[in-house]
Amino acid sequence: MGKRNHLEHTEGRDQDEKGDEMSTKKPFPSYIKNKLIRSLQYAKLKTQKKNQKKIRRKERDAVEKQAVQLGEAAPPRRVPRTIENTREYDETVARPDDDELLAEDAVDEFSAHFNSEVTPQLLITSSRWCSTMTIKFIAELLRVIPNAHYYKRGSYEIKQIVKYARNRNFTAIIIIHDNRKEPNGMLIISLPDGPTAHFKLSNFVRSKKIKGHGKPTTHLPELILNNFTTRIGHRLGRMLASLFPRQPNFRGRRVVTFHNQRDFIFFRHHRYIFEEKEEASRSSNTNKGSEKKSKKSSKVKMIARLQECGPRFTLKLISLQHGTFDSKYGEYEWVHKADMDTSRRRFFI
Amino acid sequence: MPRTSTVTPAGCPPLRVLSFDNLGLIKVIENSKKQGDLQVIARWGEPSLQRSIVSACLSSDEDSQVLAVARKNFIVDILNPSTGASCMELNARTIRGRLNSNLQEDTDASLVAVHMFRAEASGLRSVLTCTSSGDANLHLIDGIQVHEDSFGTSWPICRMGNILCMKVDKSEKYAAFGGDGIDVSLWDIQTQNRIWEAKAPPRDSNGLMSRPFVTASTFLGDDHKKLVVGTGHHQVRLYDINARRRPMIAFDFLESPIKAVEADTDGNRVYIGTGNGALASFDMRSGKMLGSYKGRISGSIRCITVHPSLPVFAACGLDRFLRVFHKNSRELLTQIFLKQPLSVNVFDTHYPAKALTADDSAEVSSVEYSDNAFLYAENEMLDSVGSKKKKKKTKESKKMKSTQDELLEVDNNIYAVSEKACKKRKAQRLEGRESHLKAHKKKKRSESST
Repeated sequence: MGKRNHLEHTEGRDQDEKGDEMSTKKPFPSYIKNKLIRSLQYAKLKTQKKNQKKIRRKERDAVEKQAVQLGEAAPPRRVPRTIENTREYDETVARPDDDELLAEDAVDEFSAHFNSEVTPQLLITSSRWCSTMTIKFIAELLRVIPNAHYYKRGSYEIKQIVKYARNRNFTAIIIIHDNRKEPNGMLIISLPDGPTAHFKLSNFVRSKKIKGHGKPTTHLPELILNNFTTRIGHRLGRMLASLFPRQPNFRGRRVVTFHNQRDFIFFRHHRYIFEEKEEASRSSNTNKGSEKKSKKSSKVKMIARLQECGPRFTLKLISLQHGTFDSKYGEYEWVHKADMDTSRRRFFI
Repeated sequence: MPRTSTVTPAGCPPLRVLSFDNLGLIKVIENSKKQGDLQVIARWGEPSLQRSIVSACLSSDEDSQVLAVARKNFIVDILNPSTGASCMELNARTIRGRLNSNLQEDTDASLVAVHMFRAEASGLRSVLTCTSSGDANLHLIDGIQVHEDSFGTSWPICRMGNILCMKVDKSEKYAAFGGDGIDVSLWDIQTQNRIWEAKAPPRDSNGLMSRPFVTASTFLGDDHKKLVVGTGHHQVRLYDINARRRPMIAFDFLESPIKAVEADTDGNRVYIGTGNGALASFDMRSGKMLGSYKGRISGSIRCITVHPSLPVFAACGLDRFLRVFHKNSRELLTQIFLKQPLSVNVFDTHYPAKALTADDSAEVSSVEYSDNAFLYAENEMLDSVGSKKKKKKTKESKKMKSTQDELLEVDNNIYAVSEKACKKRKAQRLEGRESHLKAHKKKKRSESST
């Protein structure tokens, strides 16, 4: 009874207000219990909102156009509020003018790499009994990272591998772990004295699966590190940078990107090219004499084109350990703990 | 609407802390307000990895204070803790002007700990240092230089393993040493004799012995009889030197190695910090945990320091933060980011006395409060242990209760401001909710009328 009354009530109101603008008093469609009517109402609401948005955008564009025509400054564009730009205040954000930061950078574990005293030599291995997917992942890594060598894991313990690699002057070890035949963890151990970063690895896409993927050359890649802002992030960025040789071969036009967004580090590998493109000229309609002139005046536009080479994957830091790998007696510089996740707007990298 | 405001810590009483870090910098951190946040007011030293600080000790007499800072490269700096002026530099490797032959050959060794003794009647002070290779060195200094015709001596603690910790008891007659592969032992400093050594714990169910791995130690109370030790096997042990060589109590704490152990001033409680940033306090009479301290600690805790008069303690470590906690309420009072991995922090115990001239009333109240707070803490602990005697409702216990209530009031006194603010916020919230309800009711009424 009550249900029907309520429905009739809303419908009746609807009919009354059909001609009017959308009123704010109208109850949400979620209160309607009949699914058919509810979905109809939803569809109506959605189209209304869409139209309104269209109108608003049109108005805004018109104002902007007018301002440009009049030679005035266009009204400032509004910036949407996102989780990143409303991030909680973080005192650990590294500032480039901080003398202590520079002092630490000059003496930390990666300073030898950044002073070009050592060239990176990587040892890549898997967990014991790894799956074929992990082997494929490692094969992709070997294509991306120069000076990387795959070693079969065998039955060696990580501490033994660390000792072995240290004696052979490797600068880092990467160990890929898997679960359910998918790679799901990455351990990066900087040598000779750490630190050790443990990442969760997800969203791995092989190059083959990327549409229109390119084949990378063997040139040394350029490196882009985005948004490593805090002290932990800075240290992590330096660690990731120390995996790649310092002097990129710009002829190769290869770029490797580590992009941090909300503590997730996205790995991408691209090839880029600058192409000259002539602007569409209207010379076809005019005669030959004017064609010459137009050729002279036609502008050559440079465009950059990007081709992804792959692979893609995402990393999330689980822990950063002081020194080389030691799960039993080791000290941590940073560990992710449950009580850190009390706010969506708090980030650590 | 997402929450955009953050919960700010309540603030700490007037304090002065010195923090020492891996780059060899000393930072002076102060809070002069009754309830405020810490601020770095001075930085001493130049950044250098060689001069990385491993240990520091503040020796304070009634009229003077001297700070000894042990650096990785065997240099011990003697400083004036109020100005940071360097009085002298001491090389821990040289004994009576000659290089110690044991230390010369060992290049991997580093300095582990330093202890500055109180001034003797002649005005001279001794400095005890300890190296990771297992040598204890005792130097006598007179403020400006190493005293020449005096005794400077060195003796071996062990010839194997690495020493990780050294602790001198309150009477400054005995020192406990322990490390990786070295079980804890107690030494008489004057005669340089070992007077007591711990016995390895019994074999486990598999018949295996665990390697001795002492990472931190501290003396309970004022004498050297009770020794609390933390191990790399995440075990806490209480030894009674008079009773036996095996621990009286031993219990596990979480799963990462214990890196810092510090006794409270009441002689029962200890604070324990681990390698992945867990911090808790234990009652060593029962071995029960009194509570853990939370404040988003993300890195290993290297050092815990208890304030001698105020009911606070400070913890610092690899996550580059210095945090001050309230002992009893377990609340994080304040934290400060100090940019470098920290190794040690030290409270300047003379600081409140200086502040007395500046702000009389505030200081007196806080001191009173702190004294009472200890009593309160003791009572509370007794309660928690649950001794049967206390359950009897005698006149005494009633009296105790009444005093306890009073003390509770006093305890709340200093944080009254924060509580008031809390109440205000609560009231506002309630008001807001009421107004919201009213509006909602009005709406309903108007709807029904239509």
